[in-house]
Amino acid sequence: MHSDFLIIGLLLGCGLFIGRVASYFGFPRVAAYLLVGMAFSPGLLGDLIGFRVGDWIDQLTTGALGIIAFLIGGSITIKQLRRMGKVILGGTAGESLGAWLFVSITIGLLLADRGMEQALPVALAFGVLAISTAPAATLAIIHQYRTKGPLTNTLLGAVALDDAIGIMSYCLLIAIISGDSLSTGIFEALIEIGGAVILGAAIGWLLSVIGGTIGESGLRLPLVLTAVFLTLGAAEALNLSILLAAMSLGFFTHYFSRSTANRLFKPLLELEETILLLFFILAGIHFDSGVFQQNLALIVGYFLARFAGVVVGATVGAKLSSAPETVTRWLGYGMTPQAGVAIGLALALSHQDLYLETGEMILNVILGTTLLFELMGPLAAYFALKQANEINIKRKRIRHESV
Amino acid sequence: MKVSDWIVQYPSPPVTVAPKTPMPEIAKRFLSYPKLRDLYVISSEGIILGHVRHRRLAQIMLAEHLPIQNRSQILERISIGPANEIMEGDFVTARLNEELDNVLNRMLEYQVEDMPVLNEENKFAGSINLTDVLGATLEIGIESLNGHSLTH
Repeated sequence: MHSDFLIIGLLLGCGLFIGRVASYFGFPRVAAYLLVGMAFSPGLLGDLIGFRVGDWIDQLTTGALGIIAFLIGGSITIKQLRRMGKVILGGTAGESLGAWLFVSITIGLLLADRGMEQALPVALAFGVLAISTAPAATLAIIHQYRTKGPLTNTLLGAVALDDAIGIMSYCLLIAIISGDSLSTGIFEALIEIGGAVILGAAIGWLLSVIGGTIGESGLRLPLVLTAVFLTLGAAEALNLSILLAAMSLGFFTHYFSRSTANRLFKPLLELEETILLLFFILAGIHFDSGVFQQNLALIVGYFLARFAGVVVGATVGAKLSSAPETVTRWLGYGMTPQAGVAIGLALALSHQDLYLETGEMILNVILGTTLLFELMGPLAAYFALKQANEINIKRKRIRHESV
Repeated sequence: MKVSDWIVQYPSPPVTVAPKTPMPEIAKRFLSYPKLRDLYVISSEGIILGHVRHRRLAQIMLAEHLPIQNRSQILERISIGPANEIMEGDFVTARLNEELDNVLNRMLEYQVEDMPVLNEENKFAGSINLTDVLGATLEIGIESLNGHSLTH
């Protein structure tokens, strides 16, 4: 059985089936997709069916991550940010900073204890990966229990925003750390980040102009994909941050298209589930049981440090923003789920020169902790919303209709 | 029948709102005129900028009942903007000197229930409501025994 098409079909079929089973029993589909991918990793079933991780997987996952970054950028407008208020922005900033700080320090200490040479860049990378959360898991709880109130609103805003902060922090870290010294690093970072934003803005403007002239709905998806892939390719060729360029493309496409933006994003949003299914399965295939077992201490350390960092950071951020008591006390617990963006960034990281040796270890730690956070995160969100008295109805079973 | 004759014979309910009209006011307008399904956002010069469908309004206001939401919908749910931020920029229009036949064709093809009518200066001049058309068809259908027809 050596047909790549047969194997991809098998993976997608298994992902769909196990994902539905997971939803039925109240587990997030993301975790199911990851498990399917991990089951087909080279050390496990992958060897049995002769499946090998080829270069095309990296290209595909980079493309999928670019599309996800494009959609994240396109979901945010400056006017919405202004209206959200300081509690959401403060809570999100606090959560991001807390997660980054706690995880960087904890992982740094654990790696230094091992005598690892690259302890600092690896610890900083783990810190950046800790920032993003998974909105779907929190949203599932909010919908299932029809929660309402200040905590629900703040949670929704924060989980929708912090992936953007996660991607921007990742791009900033890579840009700075790639320099020969701190001063050249900062200079190169400014070029890399500024260039990516300008590139995304320019192609976004072009996309909005051309998109505005296309009446036939069937042509919009290929047009948007053209813009996304051209942006990714141009950013790669110019040594700019590809994820930031994709996010900038999404943001400026929305900005320039204004009221006609929805028709450009809609076709890609309809493809989102397929992209996520493919993305998580392919990410899971990178699982290596040997690397996983060697790094159990890092997995536990990352998990505990991120949990503590998210809770403490969100609490401090909300407090400084003069949030109501219920938000200050419980916001962090609702922000613990983590999935897609962290895995995507870990995958992207493993292609960076500085992380070629440690990338596999980082990815496997993130795969392991994602499963833990996806199982524990919804329970923590439920606990927080219950403590805040924002749960309106009781349901016997939680169904994760969203990923 | 010409569109210009139709809008005199069947004057439309107030289907236009200003760009900064807040969501609750848009909702009240829809509730005040139950047959309305589209509201048009117009500038102070009378130019149409976009439209808000009844269904879109319901999706935003009842977002908590949607099990699946993408980031845009989540942000829209907690930070609801005025008319010019929730409006859709795609809309079809009719001209005063058009035959109603052609306009009805477009209304059905693009699933528009309130079609805005533009004058020579591209400014809002009125609208054609599909429910009114259905009512008139029923009415004139009975009279058609006497040789009348709605669209001629």
